[in-house]
Amino acid sequence: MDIKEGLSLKKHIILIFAVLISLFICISLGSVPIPFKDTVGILCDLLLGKKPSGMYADILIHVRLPRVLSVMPVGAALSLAGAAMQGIIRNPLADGSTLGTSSGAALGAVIALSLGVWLPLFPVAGTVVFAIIFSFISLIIVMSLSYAVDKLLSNNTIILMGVIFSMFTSSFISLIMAFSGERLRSITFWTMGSLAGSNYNNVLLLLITLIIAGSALMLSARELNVFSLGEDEAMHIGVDVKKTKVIILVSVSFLIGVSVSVGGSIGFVGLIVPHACRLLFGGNHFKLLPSCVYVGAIFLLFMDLIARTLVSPVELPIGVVTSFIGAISFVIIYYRRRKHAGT
Amino acid sequence: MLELKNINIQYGSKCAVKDVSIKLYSGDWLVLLGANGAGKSSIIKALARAVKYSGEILLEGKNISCFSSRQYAQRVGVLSQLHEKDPSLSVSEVVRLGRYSHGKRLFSGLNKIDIQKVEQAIAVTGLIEYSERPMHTLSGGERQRAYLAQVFAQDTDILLLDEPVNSLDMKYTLSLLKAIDVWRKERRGIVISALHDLSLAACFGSRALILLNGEQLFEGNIKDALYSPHIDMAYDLPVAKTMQDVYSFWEKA
Repeated sequence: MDIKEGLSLKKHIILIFAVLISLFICISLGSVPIPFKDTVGILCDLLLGKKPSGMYADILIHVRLPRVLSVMPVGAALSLAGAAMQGIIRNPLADGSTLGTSSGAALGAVIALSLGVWLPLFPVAGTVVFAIIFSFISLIIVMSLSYAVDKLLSNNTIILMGVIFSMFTSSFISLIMAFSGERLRSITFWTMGSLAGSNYNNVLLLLITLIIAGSALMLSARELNVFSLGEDEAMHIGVDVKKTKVIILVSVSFLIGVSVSVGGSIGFVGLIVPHACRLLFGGNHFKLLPSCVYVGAIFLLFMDLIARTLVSPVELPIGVVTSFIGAISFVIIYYRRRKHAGT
Repeated sequence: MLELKNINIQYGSKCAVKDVSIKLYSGDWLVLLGANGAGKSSIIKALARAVKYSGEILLEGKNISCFSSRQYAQRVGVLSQLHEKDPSLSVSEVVRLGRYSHGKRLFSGLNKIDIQKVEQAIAVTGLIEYSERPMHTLSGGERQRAYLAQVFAQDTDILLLDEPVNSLDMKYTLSLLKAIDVWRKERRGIVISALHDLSLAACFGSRALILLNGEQLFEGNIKDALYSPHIDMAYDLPVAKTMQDVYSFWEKA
């Protein structure tokens, strides 16, 4: 009997290779295409510690690289968060955008911006901290409301609550913006949601969050597998249900909160990527979670590429592209499940 | 040994179980009998630590609230009604989850004992040929056997059955209960079950607890229970006479 639960080494290598190739393609293409030969040259110079020069080097080092390096952890974080939420509430339609977590995080970020909360040395910290706290509170509110209405936490109830909560937070955001006076510009800029202005500080923040919260989720893979049997069953098998839920919900809030505070609301990534990974690698969380990291990074890299190049030189917000594709996938998944359930 | 002392269970203002006490020893199969709402499931839930109760439940002489989640899961396993939603896992993955409480190994690591227990559980439940199949491709009866294999892999001394054979046909019902009976005899384990079908209770149970509106009417040998006037009271039907006929039928079979 095969007892290895995680992805095989071969699959890890293939996926890492796929991520690197995607990264290479995405830093080369854009409104100013950089020939692959020059990209290789500049990257080699960087790796060897030499200082590359020329127009292409400037674009690559100061614009594309920080952006692409931010896009990857955001994609990975949102996908991981989606997979974990789907695991814990046993609902494949759960995601930051369908559960209202992302809009909760956005509300937090907007409140921080309108109040002008910031910490010395690290100007974005206020937004980040507020986004994390609000995403956690939103998760708790939506889940408790759904649970109060329907103890089985069925698809319809959760999504309805998520939508209601999202509408509520959106109206709140509009209200704050109406009263925000001279800060309106910075809030509007932020709510457009884009990774265009990313810098290496963002990259660092995202990576640290991904490593810490991602590890907490990976270490809960066995618990998530047990949860897929049901909450009562998880308890019977010996899982400390409350502790596991807290670890997972806090990790998810960190991942979504930080992603939203850096890149704005990027919807549906946490829905599409885990769904695709489940089809490709199966539902075992030892395989699902790591594959979500790789596939999520690749997926968002290409979504960002489309956003940058489709109507170049005008740039589309990345959230528009993911929501467009995500909404269609959502309908397909929902339809297939309803058909499968025969209801 | 498992002992329930003056157990009361309350849901809001409704009293589901009143002052139930019983002692169980190795090898006992206790059948909880009573009409719907009599409190059978509530007692099972209290034993599974899934509802609040007053009174004391002692396992190995210790109050069950003293055990950690893992410690308790090493001692008490639960097989419930068939799940509505099935996990997107294979049969062997589901069975392996039964080993959760026996170790805190982070990644792939199941040790030799784990693997042996899992293989044994899959073999005993006749699932070898299904072991790598995804759960959702199996029939209801096969899935319930996979969950039984998981409970066997959990390697407990006590097994709680919360109407596990609802929605199964006669063939699967019998094969499931027979497998549990073999386990009980070999292991000298304790089984506590809520079964709707009295003929099955007669066939597999060794002791019975009859409940009426949460109150304990009778506790003792299964045969005595099924022939007693208490069983007629519990169901408000002439059960005892019918059961005598059924019992003789099963004995012949």
